Amino acid sequence: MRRNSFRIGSVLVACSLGLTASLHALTETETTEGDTSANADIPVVYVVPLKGQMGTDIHEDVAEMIIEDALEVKPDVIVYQIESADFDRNYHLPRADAKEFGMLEMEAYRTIVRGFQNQLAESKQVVWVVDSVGFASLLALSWPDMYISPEGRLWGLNKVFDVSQGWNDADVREKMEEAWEGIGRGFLEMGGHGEFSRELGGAMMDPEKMLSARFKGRDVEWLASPDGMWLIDDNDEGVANFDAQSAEDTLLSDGIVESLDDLMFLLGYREYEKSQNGIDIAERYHEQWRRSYKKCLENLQDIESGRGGGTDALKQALNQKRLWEEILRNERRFGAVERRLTREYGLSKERIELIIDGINDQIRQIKDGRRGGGTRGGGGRGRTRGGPS
Amino acid sequence: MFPNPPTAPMKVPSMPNTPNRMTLPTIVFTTLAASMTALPAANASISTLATGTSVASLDEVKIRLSARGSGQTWRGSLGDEVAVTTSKRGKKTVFQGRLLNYREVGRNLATVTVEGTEDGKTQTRTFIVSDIVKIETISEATEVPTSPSTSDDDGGTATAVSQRTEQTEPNATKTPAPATTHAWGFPTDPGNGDPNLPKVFLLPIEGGVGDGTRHDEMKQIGEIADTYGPGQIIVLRVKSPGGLVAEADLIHETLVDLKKRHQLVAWVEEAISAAAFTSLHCNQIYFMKTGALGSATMFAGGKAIEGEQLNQWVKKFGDVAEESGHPRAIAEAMCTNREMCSYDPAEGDKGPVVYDTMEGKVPLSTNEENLTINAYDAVACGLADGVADNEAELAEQLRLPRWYETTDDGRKIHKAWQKQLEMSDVEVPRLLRQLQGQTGQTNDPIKNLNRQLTACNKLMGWARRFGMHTSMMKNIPPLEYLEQIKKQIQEQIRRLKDQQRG
Repeated sequence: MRRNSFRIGSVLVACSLGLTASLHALTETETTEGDTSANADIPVVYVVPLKGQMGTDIHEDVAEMIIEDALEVKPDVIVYQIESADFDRNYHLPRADAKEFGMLEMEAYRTIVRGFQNQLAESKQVVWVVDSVGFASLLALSWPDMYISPEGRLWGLNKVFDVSQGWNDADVREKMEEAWEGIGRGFLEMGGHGEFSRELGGAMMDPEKMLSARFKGRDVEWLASPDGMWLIDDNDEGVANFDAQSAEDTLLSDGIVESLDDLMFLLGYREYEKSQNGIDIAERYHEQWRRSYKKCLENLQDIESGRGGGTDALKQALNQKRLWEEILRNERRFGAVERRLTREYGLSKERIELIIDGINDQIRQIKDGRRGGGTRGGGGRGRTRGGPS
Repeated sequence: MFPNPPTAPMKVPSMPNTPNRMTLPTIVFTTLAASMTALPAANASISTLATGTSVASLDEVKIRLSARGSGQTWRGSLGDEVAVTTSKRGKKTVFQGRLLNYREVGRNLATVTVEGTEDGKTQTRTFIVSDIVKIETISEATEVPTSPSTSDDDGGTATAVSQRTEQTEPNATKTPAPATTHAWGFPTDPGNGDPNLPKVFLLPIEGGVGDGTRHDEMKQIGEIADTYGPGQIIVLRVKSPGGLVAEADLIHETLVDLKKRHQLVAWVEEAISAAAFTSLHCNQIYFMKTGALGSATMFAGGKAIEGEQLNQWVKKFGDVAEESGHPRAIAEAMCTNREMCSYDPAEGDKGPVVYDTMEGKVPLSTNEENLTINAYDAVACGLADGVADNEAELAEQLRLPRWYETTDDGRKIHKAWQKQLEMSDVEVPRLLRQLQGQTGQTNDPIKNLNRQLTACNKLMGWARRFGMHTSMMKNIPPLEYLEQIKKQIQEQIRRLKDQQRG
């Protein structure tokens, strides 16, 4: 098994997991390139951070890069670390930056989940929810083995329901609700919650639905009513949300973990080698697309203010064209930039191409006008051009 | 991919929208549906796609051979006496007879049908052009023959092929694959000499019913399967949010016809609304783990249909499901809130029981809900035959030794069509703006009008290529409207020129 990861020497990390875990010392070994003497007995853990905005930071392009790398590393365990929340924890003053909310890109999320699960099926896979509010919770529910941080939230799937509320006709609205919820429940099916995806998923997405749980032996049975032993949601005004404790109590999660060491311990590994590759790839993508996006915003400001073109109309048009072309290049380079600018400003690639077409017209007209005005002695090659009438 | 609500937040419409664009089931105005029955433009798009090898007219035929035939072109007429030399696995055979038919099926596939005599019997044989090494004209036709495989007699070709394989080429069933190298990297035939294994064709259908999901592509893959005789497996890999009901009607006709000869399999990633209707035509349904199928309330102008129109839609949905061996109640519950559905899972020897009431142990849809069904329930209630998340799993479910596709034509058809759609996404908005005089303007009014005329002509090209339904989905104005605009522009140009001449 090839260990294509970073080795910077062995680091002994001791950690505790309550009373029990404190008795065990875990060894985390980070690896660097070039060292091929990795101990074959030590399992390799590949961490995939699913951190930031759903649809941009968590994007199918970065997932594809990670899959490609993980196929080379061939890790024993893959940990999907979810840290994506539309709202922070200051509920009195929520960070309501709608620009950073997760995006409705179900097909992209399905591609991500199916890609990871199908293409990396050789490795054991678990999901670790550090915090998840919004569409990220669909990802969290897509793996059968889920762990959650003590402060972790599994919230916010009402967003799936919300997208269908713009329809006035009750029947059409119900159709759209059920269509979106059905697509959302598909993620729960992926996570092995198929038998109760209608109850569990329904209550997590639809505010009108209720949820409770009861146990049959060691199995949990979810109910779409408040009749179970564990009451999760007994009102028709909000969706069912889980915190670490309620998720663990109802066996939705397999345990509460504070760190990767805790998680590995619960998975039965006392020693492991951590591959940094997935983290590096995700961070690089995050940093690069955000930088490009920032540059695009600056360009938009420049375009709006007419900065950089001087007073000459032709120069201004040429400058605007340059700025738009730069935005277009960034959109072509990063799917996240396109998605973000399309959502915020309606600036898809096609739209920008049309804008550039328009500027090209302007440039042509200005040049024609100048030629027609006699600035070049009647125009090139002796042709006469009609000026504006 | 999925329709956004009319007031979806943060959605900035960047392109002109029509009410029908990317909505789930739309328009069922009977007049519109009726006017689309013939859909010549949509059919024309098939020939546009099949630009591969040659052009056929009523009696004159031009056949360009593949690399196997050194790319040579044969010219002649239907009814000509010809000698067709074919080569398969290094073995050359010659068949002489009268050229009955030539037709293009799919993007890169064309067939030639010849009627001749072999072993004292009259035989009709259909050859795939890529197998042909040489065509020689023995004598020219004196009259145009009656083809057994005209467009309204697809079974004729299938029969002819069937006769060929059963009677004249007993070994052909063992090694029938027309090609062995494909771009997709999977085996294209079982290759184990088992003649009982069916041929497998996969057609991905992605996008709205009317643009990404159309009957044309289904018809094409059906025709390709027909060349191998009846009994083949056609897998429709469905990922569609639904779309035009009028197109769904055409899909209905196509699939009902295909089902008579082949085994249709729906492999569902997402089949919402009209795409659910499409999937229910298949006798076998498999779900991907994330699969979802249902929500087929029909609406027009943002309002759900009601009354007799609704009753007919519910009945049609139920009939289609029932004819394919699926529980009627499940299908009907997808159409409207009032229809209920529940089921008892299988127990021991007793299979699952589906109810159109809420008496079953597992509730699926109350009278206040629409139904979209997911993988677990679909299998448990008997709607789906299994869950397959990848091709290997699907092969297992279909009891094939491994995943193989007899040809990759389905993928090619899909890819070619998707490319057309992508191109139109870029070009059509640009042309529309040009037509409206919003771009491409100069200081010369005649030049401007000429540019508008060019844009109009190009849009007419798209409209012809796409047909009515796809044009609607892609916001291309109707052909008749474009023709009127064209005339108006031409008139303006004439007037301006007259003025300039004084």
